[in-house]
Amino acid sequence: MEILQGVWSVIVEIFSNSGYAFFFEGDGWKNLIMLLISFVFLWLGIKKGFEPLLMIPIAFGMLLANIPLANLAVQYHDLDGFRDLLASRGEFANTTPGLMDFLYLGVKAGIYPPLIFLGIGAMTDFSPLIANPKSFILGAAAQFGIFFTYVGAVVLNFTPAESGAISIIGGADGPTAIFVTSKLAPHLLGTIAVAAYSYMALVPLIQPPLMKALTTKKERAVVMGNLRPVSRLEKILFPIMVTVVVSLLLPDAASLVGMLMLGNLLKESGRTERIAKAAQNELMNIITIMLGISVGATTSADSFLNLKTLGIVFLGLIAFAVGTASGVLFGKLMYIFTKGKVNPLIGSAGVSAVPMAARVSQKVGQESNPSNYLLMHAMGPNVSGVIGSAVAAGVLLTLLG
Amino acid sequence: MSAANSGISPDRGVVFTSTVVIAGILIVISMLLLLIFIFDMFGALVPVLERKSNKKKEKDAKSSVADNQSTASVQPVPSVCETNAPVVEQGISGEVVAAISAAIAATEGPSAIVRSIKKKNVSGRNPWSAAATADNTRPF
Repeated sequence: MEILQGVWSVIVEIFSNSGYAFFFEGDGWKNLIMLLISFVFLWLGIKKGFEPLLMIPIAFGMLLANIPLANLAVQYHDLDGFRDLLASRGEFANTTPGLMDFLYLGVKAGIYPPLIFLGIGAMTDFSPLIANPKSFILGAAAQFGIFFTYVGAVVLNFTPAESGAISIIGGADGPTAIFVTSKLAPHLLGTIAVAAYSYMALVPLIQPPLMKALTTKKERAVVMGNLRPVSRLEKILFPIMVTVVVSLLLPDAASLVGMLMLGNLLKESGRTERIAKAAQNELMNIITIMLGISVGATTSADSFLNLKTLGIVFLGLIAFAVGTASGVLFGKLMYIFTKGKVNPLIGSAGVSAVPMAARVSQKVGQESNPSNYLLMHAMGPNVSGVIGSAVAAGVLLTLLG
Repeated sequence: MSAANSGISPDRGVVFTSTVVIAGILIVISMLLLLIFIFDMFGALVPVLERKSNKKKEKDAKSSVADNQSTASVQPVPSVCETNAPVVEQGISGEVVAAISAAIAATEGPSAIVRSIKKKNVSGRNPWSAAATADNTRPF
């Protein structure tokens, strides 16, 4: 009998110290809801194919972070906090750093997003932009969504730094959004990253209705002339010149733009094929795993389950919609000034979301004229949008950092 | 640099918010206009520079060929049998005929004979450029 009692008390003690029991104590139910939310995001990534390469690691990071007592949530918001955590002092006197705390250091110190940009640069062909530099203006126009959303976020009572971080969702560029948010509003990082990647996956649904509403069938059917061939010398000079021009004016954008352009130079130089391939594949994949899982691990119940999350989801949609609309409207202006030589649909590709947004321009264009191939023309504003959102990020960091 | 360094402090007021929006849009647009200017210039300059360097290379190559010819004996050019030559419309160069014949030989085998090559009037987009565009954009 004594043995049975002993076994029972051990079972009860194990259960009462387990994560299951935690769900029934105080705010423990919030962790349970967060686990359910992580299942929804896993479903979106796996079943619906929503940016799966990042959505699945982010959702799994969210799952791990909300397992009670596992010490897998990121515990600090800034580098001073990490130092305190490492030394077990201050508010972290009774805790020790966990796996996610170390992985998150790469986000907080601004290491992962620029390395992802290195890989993106090594995969991107800037020829359509070099062949038609006027595409740059469409990449700039589509960034209006960022600044429009900034106003919306301020009106909704977010602080200026939080507003800057939320508005960068309109840049439709995951690494840029993570880079800016980790510096301006680290407590919103998980929410903003999830919102940014969700909307990027929804670009084929968000953009076409706006594109059709703002253009006539005649404008959508415009067939653009062939792009001129671009020489190797131009392709090599492009990354060098963009780095110098942008970084000198906006040093805060230098790590993003510099790495993007270094990746591109590795690809175009013709001398560094091995490391260009490493940047495109192994490095990019490893960083994607670490970035995704550690960003997901910042989504604690307290930071996610509140009204701010709803506000961020709403503002993110506004940012995408306004960015798309302003790109298309600028495209219309170019249509007028060039006397019908530019198809306004390529303007929407300026929101970044490479190459999804360019594919949307191609698809909507072909609906009006089946023999129309807009993709290469849309790739110009599309890659220009990447540079444009990095410049906008530099502006926000300079003004709000 | 931060907003504090420029004499303005971040707040939720109308002045600061307007400053962020207007300065942000102006800087992004002016930066990309500057890049347009630079790469428009590049587009005009680089082909000129490349043409010059190509001319120089050709000159060097010609002078070296001339040097070689002065010393080496001239090889006789083998005569070409033209009994099966296709009927070619005027205005189509020999290189085009050779390229078409080679492409047909590669796909149909050496026994295939090209009897004639004619230009066809195609309205709208050039089918070769449409095919090339389709081929280039397929990966996306």
